[in-house]
Amino acid sequence: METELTKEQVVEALRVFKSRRDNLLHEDDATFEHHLQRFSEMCRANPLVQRVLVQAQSAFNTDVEAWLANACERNSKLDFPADPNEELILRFRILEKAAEDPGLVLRLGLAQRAHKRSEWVPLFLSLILRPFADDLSHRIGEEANLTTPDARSIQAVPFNRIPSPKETKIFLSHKSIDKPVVNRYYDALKGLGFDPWLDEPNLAAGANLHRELLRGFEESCAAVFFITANFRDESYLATEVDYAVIQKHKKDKKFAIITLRYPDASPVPGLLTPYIYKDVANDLEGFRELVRALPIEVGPARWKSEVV
Amino acid sequence: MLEPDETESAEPANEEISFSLTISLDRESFFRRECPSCGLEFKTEGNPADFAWALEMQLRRVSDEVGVDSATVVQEKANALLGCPYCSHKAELAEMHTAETTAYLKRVALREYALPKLHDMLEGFADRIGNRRSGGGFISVTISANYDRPPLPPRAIYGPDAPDMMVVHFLCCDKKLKVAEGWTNLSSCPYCETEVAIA
Repeated sequence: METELTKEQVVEALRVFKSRRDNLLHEDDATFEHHLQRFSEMCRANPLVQRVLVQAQSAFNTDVEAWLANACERNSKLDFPADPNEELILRFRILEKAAEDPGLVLRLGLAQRAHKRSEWVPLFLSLILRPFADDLSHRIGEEANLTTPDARSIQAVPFNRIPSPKETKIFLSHKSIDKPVVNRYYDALKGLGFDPWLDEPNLAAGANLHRELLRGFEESCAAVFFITANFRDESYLATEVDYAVIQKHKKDKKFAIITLRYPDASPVPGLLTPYIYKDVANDLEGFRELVRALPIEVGPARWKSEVV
Repeated sequence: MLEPDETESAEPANEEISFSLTISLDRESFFRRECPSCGLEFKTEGNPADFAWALEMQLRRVSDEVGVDSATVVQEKANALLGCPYCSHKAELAEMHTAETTAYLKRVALREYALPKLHDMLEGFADRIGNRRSGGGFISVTISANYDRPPLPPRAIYGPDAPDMMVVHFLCCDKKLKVAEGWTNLSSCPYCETEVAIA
């Protein structure tokens, strides 16, 4: 059974593979035998290379000795298997044989009409090793990708896009009779990590209503008005609309006035028509429109410490 | 009177040599770089224009080493300044290549340009000498030259690159970078220098 590799092991396995491969392909001919042996040893020990070779192994049924005997006959044609896995393993076996018996490079060279010593190694590199190294490079790259978990991602946010906690509240303006609806919005916003403002939990007994409302608006990035079938006239929300308009002028794009109009409600009052308003069929649609219109974003995905 | 040899005295025509090179990116399409100041590695999103300068630099270098005329890369070149995400050192992208990339570009430049150019030169030299006999007087010398073009070194292979490091998305300019896992000490954007905080 294959053991899991850590990201560090994958990085190290790739580094060693590339180093040995490049030494074999590009170092001086005089050190070729040394680098061939080192590469062969690396292939047997490198966990990524081993995974690739083991996977390709199952298709292999070529008689290597017979293939080499034929290849070393004068002017013979080199015939590689059509199956890519079989070809990969055949090249690997030839590489291993050459690492054990350097005379093989010479014999193969002579058979392929390379008469000078200086031509044998380049010919062996060109016919056997480079195609093997190229194929293996692709395959272990794929293997490394499969073995390693996806990269984690974080955000670097410019300072001017990071609001202070004192300007991200969402003011929920409503009639008392609509409290059950608005409470659902309050809970959903909280659940998403927003900071909704509702009179009930935010107003202490004896607090000055207007002062607290004003503070609520000043610390908000949005005011949401709920127009339901219970809505009769706009006088009750005139103060809150005034406060919201003041904040809109003051904060511009960093403040949104959002009106959600439920079915069977009277038309959106004139005070609010210059701003965003949406006809919504239900709470879910209303919530989607609300989140979309907010000037602040929902946070990036994080693992919960505990699912409750 | 000798007429000047027009073919030899004419300006050499601009010769365009075409070859392709493959730079492999990691799984998330990032390309590994190295800060020339602190030596630490990070990754940027890959762009072929980034490599043109570096390749031209290597072409110049290997041409000088081998002794042939250098070449200019026709490919569009981009060479923006980038700050290192670790030490904030600012450098041109062409200076922020890893030893692996530099070695690869050098091998490509040598195999695809400098060595063929050198072999052409030596072949031309051998052709000009050919079998010449200088006679007259009492001494006769025969010079014969023959040049067998040696095989080129194997084509270099680039990569594969490990799918390591962590992606940082800079919201200021909507660009991404990969840095070492756990490195969150980023106070400004390496691209546009906007002050940032990690979220």
